[in-house]
Amino acid sequence: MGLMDDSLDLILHTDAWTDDVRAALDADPVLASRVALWLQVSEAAGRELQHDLPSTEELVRVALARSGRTDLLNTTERESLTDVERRLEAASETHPAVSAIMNRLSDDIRAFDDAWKSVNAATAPKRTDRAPRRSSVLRRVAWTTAAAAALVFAILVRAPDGMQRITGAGIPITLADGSTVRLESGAELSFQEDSPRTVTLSGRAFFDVVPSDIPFTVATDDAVTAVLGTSFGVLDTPTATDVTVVTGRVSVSAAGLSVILEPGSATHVASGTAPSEPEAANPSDLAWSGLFIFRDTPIDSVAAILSDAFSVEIQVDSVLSPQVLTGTFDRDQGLEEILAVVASALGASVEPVETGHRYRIAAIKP
Amino acid sequence: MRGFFINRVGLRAEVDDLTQNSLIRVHRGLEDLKDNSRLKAFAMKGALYELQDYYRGRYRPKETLFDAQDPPDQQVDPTNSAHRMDVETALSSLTPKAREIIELRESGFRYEEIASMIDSTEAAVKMQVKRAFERMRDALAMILMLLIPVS
Repeated sequence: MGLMDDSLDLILHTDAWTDDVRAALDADPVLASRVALWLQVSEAAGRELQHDLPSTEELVRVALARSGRTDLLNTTERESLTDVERRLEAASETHPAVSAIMNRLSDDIRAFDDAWKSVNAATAPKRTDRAPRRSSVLRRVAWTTAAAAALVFAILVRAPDGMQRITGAGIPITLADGSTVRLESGAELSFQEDSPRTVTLSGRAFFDVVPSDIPFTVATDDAVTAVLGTSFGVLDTPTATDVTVVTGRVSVSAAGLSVILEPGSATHVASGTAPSEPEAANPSDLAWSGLFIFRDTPIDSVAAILSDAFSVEIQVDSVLSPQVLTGTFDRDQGLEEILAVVASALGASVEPVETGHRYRIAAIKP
Repeated sequence: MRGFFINRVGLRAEVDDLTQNSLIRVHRGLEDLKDNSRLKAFAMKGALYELQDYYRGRYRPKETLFDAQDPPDQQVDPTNSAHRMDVETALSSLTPKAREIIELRESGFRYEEIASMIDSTEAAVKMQVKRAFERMRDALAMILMLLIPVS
């Protein structure tokens, strides 16, 4: 009897039909036939409920209305509410689960509100000082200032031959086609006014290129980098050019040979030679740009990179270790804002152990 | 969005799918999105629809419990009237509490979720299910006895 009880518990209470369950059923044909009937009874109960219950979308709308959120519904949805409420009322007379299902939906709505608030609290205040400002003098070059007070600069020089030259540091500059470029101090980017997707670079730059049928090419003394839409960094030094790709695919050509770079890979082109075989890039290769670019990066590595960059200690609960993160952050967002977004994406919370020095990313128990 | 799903279903592989599907729903509705303040409405509805669909579809693999080549006796023609009566009888033998739990379970909720939904504990919920199963078994046994002609 004990054995039978154990099997029964296993079968009735499992959340997944495992081999153990199958084995228990195979071993006991009487039990198997009862369980088969039980499953049919359960399914019949479920089927009757689904038949009488309004659709999931209708239930969500009723729950929103009951939570006082009619503002989230459009006119047609609002007009249908009375009818849905009537069917729901009728269903609740025969089905005891209806009120628990509706209460659960109200909890879901509250949980969404909380999640939404926590992300907006982290990102909203800064977003307002970061509104793009357009300068009429610079006409086709729009600036997106990271922080108004920061000591960064960019100079656009327009020569009579239609050649534009940009030098600058730190701030992202939006080109005429919508692509953005960040130039490291001393770097210079030049292009013909009528072909802004064919640029020449000296120094170091990070490009985020908008997709287009027209290839975006970056020429240095050593190599030509061509893409359709992607983000990548280029470092041109007197003796070599390094290209690191973050998203998309990039072709790098030099000395008559090309290599294709996939996301997360890099190549080195020494003057006068062909590009090296692509190899894995180090995320810190692009740290100079003030960007933290994570692509399926393990959360422990994310914490290590942010710890180094901001000189703080960041602990991560071990239960979160299997998680990976994809996202791009700007150093100017500040550590606490970045951590808040990271934690929210993981369904975790940030606890300042010692503000400015030590933080902990803690798992929230569901 | 991702934080919301982790809050609702825990740290599971499905969280990324749910997030992505919700964003696809939002994306599809974008052309109707004339006003940015409506973004939250789109995002919330997308996420809620996706979550409810997820609950409903969670136990689909149950059909595979019994091998197709070796079906137990009861898995017979559903038009068989005696058999249908069994199911009806068994359904009517359920107490409202047991039926509530079974309906929630069939709606895709896990026992721990059901426990919190009906202010109970997981152990108590499982006990209810077991009692309901036993009651059904006894009810069917009685009917079976009535059907066997006395010789």
